[in-house]
Amino acid sequence: MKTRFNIIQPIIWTALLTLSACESFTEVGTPQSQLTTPAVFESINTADAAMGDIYARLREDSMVAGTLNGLSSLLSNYSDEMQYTGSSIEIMQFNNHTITPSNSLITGLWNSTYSQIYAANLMLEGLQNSTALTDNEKARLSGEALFIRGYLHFYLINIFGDVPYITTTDYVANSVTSKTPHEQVWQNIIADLTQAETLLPVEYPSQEKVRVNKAVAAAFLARIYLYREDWANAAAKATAVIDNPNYIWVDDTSQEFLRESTATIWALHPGTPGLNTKDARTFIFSSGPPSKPSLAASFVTGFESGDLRRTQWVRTVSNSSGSWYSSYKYKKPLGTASSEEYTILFRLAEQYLIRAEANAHLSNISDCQADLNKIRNRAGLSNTTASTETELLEAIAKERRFEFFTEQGHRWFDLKRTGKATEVLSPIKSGWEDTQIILPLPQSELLLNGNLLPQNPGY
Amino acid sequence: MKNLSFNKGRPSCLCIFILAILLSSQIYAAKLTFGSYTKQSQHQITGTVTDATGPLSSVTVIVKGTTTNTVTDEKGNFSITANSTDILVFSFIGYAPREIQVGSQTSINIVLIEDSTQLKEVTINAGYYSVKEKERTGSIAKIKSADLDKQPVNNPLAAMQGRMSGVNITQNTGLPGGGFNIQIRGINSIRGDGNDPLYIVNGVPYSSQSLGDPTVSASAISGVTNPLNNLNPSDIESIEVLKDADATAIYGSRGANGVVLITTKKGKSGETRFNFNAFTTVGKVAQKMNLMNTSQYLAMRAEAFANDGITEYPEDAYDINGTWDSNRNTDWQKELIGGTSYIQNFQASVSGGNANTQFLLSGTYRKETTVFPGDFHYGKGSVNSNITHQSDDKRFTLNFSASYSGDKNTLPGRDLTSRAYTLAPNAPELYNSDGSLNWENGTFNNPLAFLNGRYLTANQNLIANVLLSYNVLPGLEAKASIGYNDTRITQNVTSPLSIYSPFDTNEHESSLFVASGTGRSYIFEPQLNYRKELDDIEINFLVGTTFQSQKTTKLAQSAFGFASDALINSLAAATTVTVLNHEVTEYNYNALFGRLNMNWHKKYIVNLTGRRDGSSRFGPDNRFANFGAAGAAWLFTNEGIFKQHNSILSFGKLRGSYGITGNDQIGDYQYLDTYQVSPYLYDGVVGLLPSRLYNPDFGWETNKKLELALELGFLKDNIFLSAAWFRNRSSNQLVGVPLPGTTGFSSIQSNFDATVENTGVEVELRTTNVKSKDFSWTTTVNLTVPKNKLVSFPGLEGSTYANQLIVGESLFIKKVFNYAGINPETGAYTFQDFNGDGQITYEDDRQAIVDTSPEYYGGLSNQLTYKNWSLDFLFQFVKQLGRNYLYTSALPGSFVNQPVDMGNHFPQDGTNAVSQQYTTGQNGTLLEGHYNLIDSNAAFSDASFVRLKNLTLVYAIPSTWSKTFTGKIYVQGQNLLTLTDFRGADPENQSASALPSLRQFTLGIQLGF
Repeated sequence: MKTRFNIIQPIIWTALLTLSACESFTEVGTPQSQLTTPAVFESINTADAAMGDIYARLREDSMVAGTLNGLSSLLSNYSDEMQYTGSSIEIMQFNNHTITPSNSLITGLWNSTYSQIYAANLMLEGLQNSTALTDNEKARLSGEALFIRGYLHFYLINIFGDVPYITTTDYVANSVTSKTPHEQVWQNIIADLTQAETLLPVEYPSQEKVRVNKAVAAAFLARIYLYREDWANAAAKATAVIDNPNYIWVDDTSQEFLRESTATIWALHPGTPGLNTKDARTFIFSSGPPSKPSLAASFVTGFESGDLRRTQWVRTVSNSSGSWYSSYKYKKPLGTASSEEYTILFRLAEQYLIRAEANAHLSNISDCQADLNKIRNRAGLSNTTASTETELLEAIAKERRFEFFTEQGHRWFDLKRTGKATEVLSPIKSGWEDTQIILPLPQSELLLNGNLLPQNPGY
Repeated sequence: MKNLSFNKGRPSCLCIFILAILLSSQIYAAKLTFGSYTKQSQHQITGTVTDATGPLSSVTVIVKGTTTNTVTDEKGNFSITANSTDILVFSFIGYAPREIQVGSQTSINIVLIEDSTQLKEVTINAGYYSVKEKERTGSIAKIKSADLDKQPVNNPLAAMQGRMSGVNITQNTGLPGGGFNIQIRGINSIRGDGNDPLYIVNGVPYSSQSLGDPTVSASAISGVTNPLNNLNPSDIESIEVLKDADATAIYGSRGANGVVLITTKKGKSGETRFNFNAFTTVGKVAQKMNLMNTSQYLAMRAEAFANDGITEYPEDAYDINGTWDSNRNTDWQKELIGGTSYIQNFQASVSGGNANTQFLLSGTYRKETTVFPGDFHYGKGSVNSNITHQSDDKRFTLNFSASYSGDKNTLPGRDLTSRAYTLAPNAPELYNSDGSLNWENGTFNNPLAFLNGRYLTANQNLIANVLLSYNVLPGLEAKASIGYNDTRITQNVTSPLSIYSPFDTNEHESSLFVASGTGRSYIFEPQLNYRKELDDIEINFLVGTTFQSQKTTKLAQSAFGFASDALINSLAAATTVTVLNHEVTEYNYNALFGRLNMNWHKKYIVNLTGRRDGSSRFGPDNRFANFGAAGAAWLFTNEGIFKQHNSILSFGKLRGSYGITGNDQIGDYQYLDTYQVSPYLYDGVVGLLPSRLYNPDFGWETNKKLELALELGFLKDNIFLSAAWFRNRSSNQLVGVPLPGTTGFSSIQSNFDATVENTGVEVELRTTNVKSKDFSWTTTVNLTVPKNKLVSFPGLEGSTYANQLIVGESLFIKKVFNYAGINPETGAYTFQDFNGDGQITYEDDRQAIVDTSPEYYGGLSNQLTYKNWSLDFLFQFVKQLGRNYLYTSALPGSFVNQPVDMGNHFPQDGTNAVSQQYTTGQNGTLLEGHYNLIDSNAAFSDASFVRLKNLTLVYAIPSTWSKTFTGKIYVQGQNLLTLTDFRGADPENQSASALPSLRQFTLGIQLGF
């Protein structure tokens, strides 16, 4: 008996000790490729890397990305710029105006945008709690994050109508959020951008113009005021950018989309050295009928004769069964020894046309004509003959159409904000309904959060 | 002892180990004091053990009541020291044991008699312990090396197909080095990737997940490689599959999906033996698609153009506009996947030893080629070694095993199978007369160009294990198992410019994808085992702890822009190199486990097992959890009433078990609030991105398993039947709980109150039909009837699973359109308009349900021996619904070949024709009908099959001239015959892009001396 007692005891001891003592064995710390969130904001380098990734995701998978799923492609299909001969049923839905709420591209736009907004909000919260960063560093990064937050909400409200304006990372609150009233969304965008403009430095936080500074915020505000029909402010902000000596007008259409273009206000860095734009990969094809979206023949024939943009920004591919046109603003789909083209999000030409449009509304006819002619002359066209406000607005709309095609949905937004969508699209899109002025909210989103009901009208 | 202080942390873990050793020695010291061995007149006894046919080797001879033992050598001889009062016990599997009083004898020659109730003595490895087959309380299936050796397969999983109830294995591709899908009693987790069983090789956990990168291997082998490819089937002694709670609960959090125990071969005592085994296998694709020939195909094309109102064939319709010769007719399956694959396999081993020490060393080399044209091959070399040692007093034993294998797979960058199914039958020659690839002036995308792209994978794997055991006191054994596993993979996929047609004007870049992974894990498991026989009850008690640590690194890179295809294997030669993924993860695991087995008179057996697990995959508050099970068995034929009557019922056992196991296959670090390194660069800086919405509180998935089983032996067990019913309920499902996009993420990893239930019946029947001196015939049948059901899923409607799952249905369902025949006006496929809105929409009208879970599956094998000949064959059968060719076929009428069945079409064959009206793609209604058909129940049909999986004929070379020589010549056939109504190629992988499994013939010879 004594023997057995001696055996049982150590067994029990071993058991108890294992239970109590080895908890630390199962602690592994953080993986080598990850950092805890507070640690990211303890150093400017890691905080900058976190900010850098927000830009990278704009480039890779966002509404302004030059991919097939970005607005440059989708809204060009949705408006009168492009035709589609590929096999994606979901892109076809954009082209035919038969978009359903379960279209995964819609869901993708929504989800990726809010994911990027989350990253911006996490940035703002991390900066607020950081004790290690200097005030200057915090101001700059906060300015960038606020800019991104406003920038993305700007696209959301223009595409989806009323949307939630998300300013926190609290997923419990965000999962039951409801639509922010339309006017409030715009006020929030303006507030974020105004604050961003104050916080951002004059100099770019990067070597090239690939992160935002004060001038980019001003350029964006000019666009916002234009959309808000606040003509005076739009003209003022545009003027501030145009007069900024950092930006120099490029009087050669073939130089406009190059990496070194001095007219670029903000562009996306392609990432790995030697890569060029996603836009070129998305739009350039060499044989027809192309599987990629191509410029509609009706669009291409709309160029005035002699327009250099027709010859330099459009490429024609022909065979015996027909001709197809690729958008050829960016010409390098493949890598090059060093990168030659960056996707440009803000450029000087837009600021001229914003100011022209604002001035037309403000009846500053000659100022308006001067800005408009700046664009026309560069394209090898003569001065505009428009002289009344109506004629000028029409001329500006036309100029914008041929200047900004396949750039982040400019054309569609112009049709929408000027109330011309039905007039222009109903003859060419058989599925057109007036309610298509906004896209449907993603079906999955409504199922997961009933507070976002009702669905947009018509869907 | 109580004065020792234990700090939290690693040092204390070490303390325990040291303590365990100290304790052992303390107890040993105690034993020396208390114990007493009576030294009486010991003398040497020698003798020979024989059976009806001759000497019996490896018979255990034990001095009853002691640990003194030995085994007989090749010639049946033994030598042992015993007292005159001792009793010697001779036992050997399959023979009735005999006891002999020593007395004054110095020489004992005995004959053992074969015992027909041999099954009862078979012991089963249950992982931490082993049990006698007849006394087990849990559900454990086993296959032995004899079954594995019958098949010329590379992966042990392939050899298990059809041989075990409750285990459903499918092979993804007929290519060497490909993947397998294994389900033990169905799928338990809603997450598709959390359903792997736990693999344990010689006590060392073996990862079920490939360290390779799925994007790298996807196009070449239709999925990921299977890590079990690195195990050599011929080195395996046995594979046990643990299924129910009683067997798996001791594996706690990793037991939910079953446990596969793999044990490699060990040496046997006796004279040193050399064994050689060599075989050659030839294989060809077993199932072909029945495709249109040129006249059928061109008739279809012509009709399609006519239907579309196109009279002048377009320039790019090369097949029909005269560009290609309309008289050519090529069977592209024959050209592209119709080759012969050769396997050469050589194995040599040497084994031997004495009663104390045995060893085994074996080496295998295998080379396998593919059915593709060109030089593609898979090679594997492996070494397996084992040493067992027992001290003279038999109290200390050591078992060391180590196996190392390396394989290298060179395949085309893309499987040619889908091209073989789709290429127009009148497509031009593959080669020009000068031997170069024919592009037919740019009209032909020569499929052989893909062969210029390479998929290269190399694996290395080392598993080593030491098991030390010491009998501290009679009945008390202290054990320690220490294992190490090191596995590496490198993968490399090249896409040179030469895979594109020189006439292709699109801009292409040559590219290289490189991936590598290393995994290193060690495991340390000290254990104490106590066994005590009392008057009425035999008690087995086991307690142990596990420390396991695993470090994994993965790296995947892509490279573009090579100056020349010749430089394509060099990352340095690329202009752009991107790191796609680099991760280093660590996983630590700690557990305490135990077992208490009580056996009353071999009639009533109760088995209690439990485990407390801690895993680094869970947050600090949920890191530990308890699992456990109770199993019981009643051997009712051991009751007096059965023993008295000479009943036809020779064995009867009722057993049952209930318990909780868990699943921790959720990936590492999921509970942390972190930023991680982004795959993207921006402005020269590598980004950091938020990893996830974090939930520090998620906990273990639990799986409650219930099983009842009856095992019956009739006529001295010549008929043996076992039937089991099980119900596994998996709840607290760890899924990404879906969140609205406004949260920034689509889901958060969290426990979810959904329950998945797997129920089923498993029947195994083994009959000995004939047994005589020269002829014997046994039959084994296994049958599994499983049922999978989603029992509850609150909030399913709003989740991302809304379009996938239905409460009350299985997890294998698909929601599809209900096919409703061909519209006589449009000629297009039509579908039921469930919501009656006049439109067929993806969201609302996919309301028909197809369930692809197997209805039943099993195997039937027969084993016949006549004198020196033996014949084995195995039929595997599955009853199931599967995706047929309509799921993958292209638009009928387009520039793609079709199955002959599609020739049955509208309008000629009416509204019930197989194919709708042909179109080249110009007709929108037909196009829509085609796309909807893919998502309809018409694309699913019977994929049941009966397959003659294996047939083996062996001739044992007579060895009357030598006592030690053994020799066998054998022929084998694999996948010889498949009976199926499946509309497609292979009902097993049901794929239009992966190579079907091969039909193989093997000729081999095995020599031993």
